[in-house]
Amino acid sequence: MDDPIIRIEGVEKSFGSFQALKDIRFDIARGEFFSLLGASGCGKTTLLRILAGIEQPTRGQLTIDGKPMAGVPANRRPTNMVFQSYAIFPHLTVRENIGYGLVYQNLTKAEAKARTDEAIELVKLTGLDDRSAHQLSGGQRQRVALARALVCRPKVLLLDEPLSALDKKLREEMQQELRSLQRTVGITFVFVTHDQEEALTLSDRIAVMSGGRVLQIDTPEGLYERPNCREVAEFVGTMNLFPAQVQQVDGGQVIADGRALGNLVGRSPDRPVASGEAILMALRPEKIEISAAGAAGPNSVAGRVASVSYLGDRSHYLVAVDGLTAPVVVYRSNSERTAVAAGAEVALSWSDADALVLAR
Amino acid sequence: MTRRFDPLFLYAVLFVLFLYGPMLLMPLFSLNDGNFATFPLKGFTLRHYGEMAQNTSMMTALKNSLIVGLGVSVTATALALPAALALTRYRVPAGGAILSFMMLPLVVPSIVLAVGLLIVVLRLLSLPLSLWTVAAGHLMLCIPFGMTVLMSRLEGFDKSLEEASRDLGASGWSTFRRVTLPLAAPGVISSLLLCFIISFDEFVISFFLTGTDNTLPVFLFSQLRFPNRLPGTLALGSLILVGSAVLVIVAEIVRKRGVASDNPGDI
Repeated sequence: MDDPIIRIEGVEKSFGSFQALKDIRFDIARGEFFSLLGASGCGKTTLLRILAGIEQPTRGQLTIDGKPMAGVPANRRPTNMVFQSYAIFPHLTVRENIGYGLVYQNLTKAEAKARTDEAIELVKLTGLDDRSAHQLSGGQRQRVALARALVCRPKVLLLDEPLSALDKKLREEMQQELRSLQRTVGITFVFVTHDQEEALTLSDRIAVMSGGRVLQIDTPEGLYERPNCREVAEFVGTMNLFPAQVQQVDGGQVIADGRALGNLVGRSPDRPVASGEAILMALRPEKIEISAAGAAGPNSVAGRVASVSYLGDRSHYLVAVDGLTAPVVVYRSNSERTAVAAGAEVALSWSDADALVLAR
Repeated sequence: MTRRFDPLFLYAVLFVLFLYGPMLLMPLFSLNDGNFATFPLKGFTLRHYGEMAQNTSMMTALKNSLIVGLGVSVTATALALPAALALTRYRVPAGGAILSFMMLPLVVPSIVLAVGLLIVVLRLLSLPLSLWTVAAGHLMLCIPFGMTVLMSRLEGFDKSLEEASRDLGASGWSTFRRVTLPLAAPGVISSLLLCFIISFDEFVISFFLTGTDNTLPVFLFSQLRFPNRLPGTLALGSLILVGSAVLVIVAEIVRKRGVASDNPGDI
């Protein structure tokens, strides 16, 4: 990547004997909305705190805006952070909280006031200037934390699960606001979350992390359509996995033996696949067709509908298939009129291009 | 609605009487026109308060105690604050051991402490006994109390507040001044009050370590041999009682205000 805002090269972090981060290396582009996605304990927050300068990496190098960050303390970095707890100063008012960092920016009083006013307006807190932290709602506290960081005009804004403490409705509202705010200010956002839906909605690119490593970095669509391993496939969305053994690799296609499922044909992954290799055929629930006709040919298996959940616009089916321990999950749009009831014998089928080949 | 008599209410009244009744006899007898603290009361007078004010040695002892108390409370709090910060905010090697060691004066009987300090001062350091040695002894006793109060306060607030301050551009010192200290303020005030009261009230260490200058408790003890001086002592005691009640009430108000501002509404 040319001239990235953040370059992470071989960053590692250990706490005692626990290795929280292992050989992290990637770039973040200027103006990008970049998410670190992973379950708790995967190291995403530690990485964010290293970017902020609150934690120091045990090994590796970090460059922000072309400058190496080794030995640069948090207060001298072009980054600001929105903390998970918001960390609103309880002894200060909204205005004092937001203006906190401007003291260190060599501004005149008038300039500082103008910047604070602008930030208060940006996050829609006008009129709440003199409130103290304990008089604010969760959403308002979140806005104060955002304004307090943005008012310093950082090159990178770091957000540590800023929406996790909000209820669902408010969270969805704030997601929209965050996204449009990021477009308005044009600052690079690095966003930590454990919520895959949130990451997909907001991000330009997402790094999926697990056990201190980055598993895959891609656009939301790339992660969902082309996960590079089982962990990513299962973490982002729902994935049906059929164990199989490669029989033949033919150009863009992998033909595999699915035992009780018959022959399975899938799209070749980027990595080389050898004949005889044990793999997983991976299918998203919405890519599977459900029909009353009997199963015939490759990528077609017979099953029995174990349960149906009606969700308005679509229904979720769990289909029991002989030879599989877990039922196959199928999403089907309810715009199709033919209903399939629980207990019905059905055939599941899908196209070759939708089946992914993942390492077992 | 008529309330039934609650035996627990009677218990509570008796309990409070038991605690505070004897203390209330002191102001009562200090206003009694007689030289002995006995019933029946003889009449109202303020003359004991006049005698008290004219008793120069008593006033000197009071002054000594106030000076030592103020000096000790400020010094002990100033020394305890950095230690409390280090132990609550940073990973200090052997922090637990250091803390237990600092808390030792809380569990060592003060008579043992006093004898030990006397030997140290006279034999090892060869210093003359004075109010300075008394203050040093009090300091040792007060630091663990200050630590306890300050640490519980510092542990109570979110570490990310200090991280946020650093992140927004503040240096370590600036963070201490703008965030840590204001948030620790209720703890600092409690520590100052607590240390002052401990020093003001302390008898054993003062008795052993003082030279010719008496602190108030030591002076009062020496006066008990002279019954006719008792009313003056009662007058002074009454004034101190009122003073401490005011201090405690102020401290409680400060503490409550601190608690209110730290528990911002739930998210």
